[in-house]
Amino acid sequence: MLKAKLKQVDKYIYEYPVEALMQVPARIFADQDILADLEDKVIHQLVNVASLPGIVGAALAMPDVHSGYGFPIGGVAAFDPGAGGIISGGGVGFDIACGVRTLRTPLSLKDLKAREELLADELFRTIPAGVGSRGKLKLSLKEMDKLLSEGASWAVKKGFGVEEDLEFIEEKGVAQGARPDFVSAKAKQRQEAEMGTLGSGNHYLEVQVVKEIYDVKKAQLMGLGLNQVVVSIHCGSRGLGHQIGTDYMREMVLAAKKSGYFLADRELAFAPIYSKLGEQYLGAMRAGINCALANRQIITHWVREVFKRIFGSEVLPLLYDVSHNTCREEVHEVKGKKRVLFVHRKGATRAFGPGHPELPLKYRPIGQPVLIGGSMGTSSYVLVGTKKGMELSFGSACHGAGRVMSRNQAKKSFSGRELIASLAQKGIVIRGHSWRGLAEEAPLAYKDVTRVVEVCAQVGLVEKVARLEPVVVVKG
Amino acid sequence: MGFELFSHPADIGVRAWGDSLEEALEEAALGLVAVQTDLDLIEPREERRLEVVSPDEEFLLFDFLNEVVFFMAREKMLFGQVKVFLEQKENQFFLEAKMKGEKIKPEKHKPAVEIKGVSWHELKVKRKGKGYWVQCVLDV
Repeated sequence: MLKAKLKQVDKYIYEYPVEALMQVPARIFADQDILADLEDKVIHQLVNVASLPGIVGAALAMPDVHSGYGFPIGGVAAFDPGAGGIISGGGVGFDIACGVRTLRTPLSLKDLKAREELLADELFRTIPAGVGSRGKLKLSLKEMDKLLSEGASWAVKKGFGVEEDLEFIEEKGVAQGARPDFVSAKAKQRQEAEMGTLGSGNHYLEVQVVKEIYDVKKAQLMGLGLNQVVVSIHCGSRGLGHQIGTDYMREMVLAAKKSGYFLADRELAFAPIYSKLGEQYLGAMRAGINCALANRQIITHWVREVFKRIFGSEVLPLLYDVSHNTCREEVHEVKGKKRVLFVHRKGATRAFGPGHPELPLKYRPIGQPVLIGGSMGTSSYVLVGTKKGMELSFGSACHGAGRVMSRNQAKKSFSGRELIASLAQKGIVIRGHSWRGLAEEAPLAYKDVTRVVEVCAQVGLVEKVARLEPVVVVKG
Repeated sequence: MGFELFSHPADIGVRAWGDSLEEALEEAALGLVAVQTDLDLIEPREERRLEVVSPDEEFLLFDFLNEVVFFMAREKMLFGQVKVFLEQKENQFFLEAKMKGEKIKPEKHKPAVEIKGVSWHELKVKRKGKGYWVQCVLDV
């Protein structure tokens, strides 16, 4: 049991001390309940990450952590390129820049006037989702390359959304340094018919209502009020991102095989940031980020059209857009010294504190909005990053609830039909493409998102602003 | 020969076995398709061929299954019949596969999840007696 070696270093922080090959300690943000449920495998995976070259500070796990492959899901790891630091495809994940964005509507719950069913039907019809669905856009290779270079900005130029949206996306909607030429032809082919699609699995589109406000001033600044209707979109870089992940994981494992480097798990395979393969992956991964940003931007436009058709509401301003599977070049203060680090967040959200120059002016006084998606039918949260988070977690927080039950178990334990009936009793309207898919996403297959968020807030990684509850859920 | 699916916290694993590596790979590909739909629902309407070249048996499993994932994703197809031909020359494996299936019809096949890719995590290829046993975890 590795768990027995964890030492409590603060109320909600547990540390696994440096031993054997570890360069830095491993740290887990958790309360006693989360710790009690924690898989030993997560600690094992964190220890492996803490042993990678050039890692700085500590290998971190958020309260929603669960075991992944190689890197745990809900993990943060920062690497210094000057100290031999590395970049790993497995540290980012297959679904590059999977993330959440939230749009504000001018409507309150009573304005929906029992048109939830119509709204659900229209959203379901308009936004392609589910396995085997085809998008409504078909892109030429030349256009694809532009999209991969320009991200959400490309989408806005094509008429999907407005210029103002870009201000409220991380990196202003464009990952700089993207290299479409480092993205394989296969990855691009896989994306041909997938722009503007939601995907399947845990991805969703939700119409939500602001149910609780924890910080009135911050909520006001974000334009959120009690009972207000908002829309959240959770999806990623689709087939292109998945193929980039596959292509580069192969290259990184091949490099390890050739050099004879021992990997505790081949999903930990990496390339030095300052290497040809490292540069190639970085360029391709950034193109993957741009693909995800453009995808969410296109879906945003269609959501707005649906709201315009049904409610006549023209404007659904973007509150913010976060990606939770990324590696980004950022400046962080480590022991009083500013260093350029490559921060891997796999199932973790960037959560920059107040005053950070990366933030839009509007949010600079309060910190970066952090959007946390719940599991189907449960609460979602709007939080903000903190100064303390900058010190404790390289400005990072959790990303969602985190699975506790495998898909197979969930499929055996729940029925899609019963699930819909029970959510309908709570007044939630659901549209999904697959009963089995729905069963696999049953809320009980996940940790309690409220507890996960509470621990992040107690540690001081974030401050709570608002809690959202779903009214309409569209699943892939 | 045969396959089984097993649980992994967020994802699904496939184990497959056969009297030869070819057979084990065929079964693994069918296991992968079975994650998405019931194999009995797939009619052999169209054929696709694919080729991979890999430096060892484990890369072969990774490369082959990822190629199947690519074909399924790009062509929006499901395959219910798989035939693998394998040749080994100078430490390289040359694989050719013929796969029969049809385009995904959501009403008919009720596909549950999309497979993003085959991971390296716990990926194994083992000789068992005269036959082969393979295992991998899919990211879904």
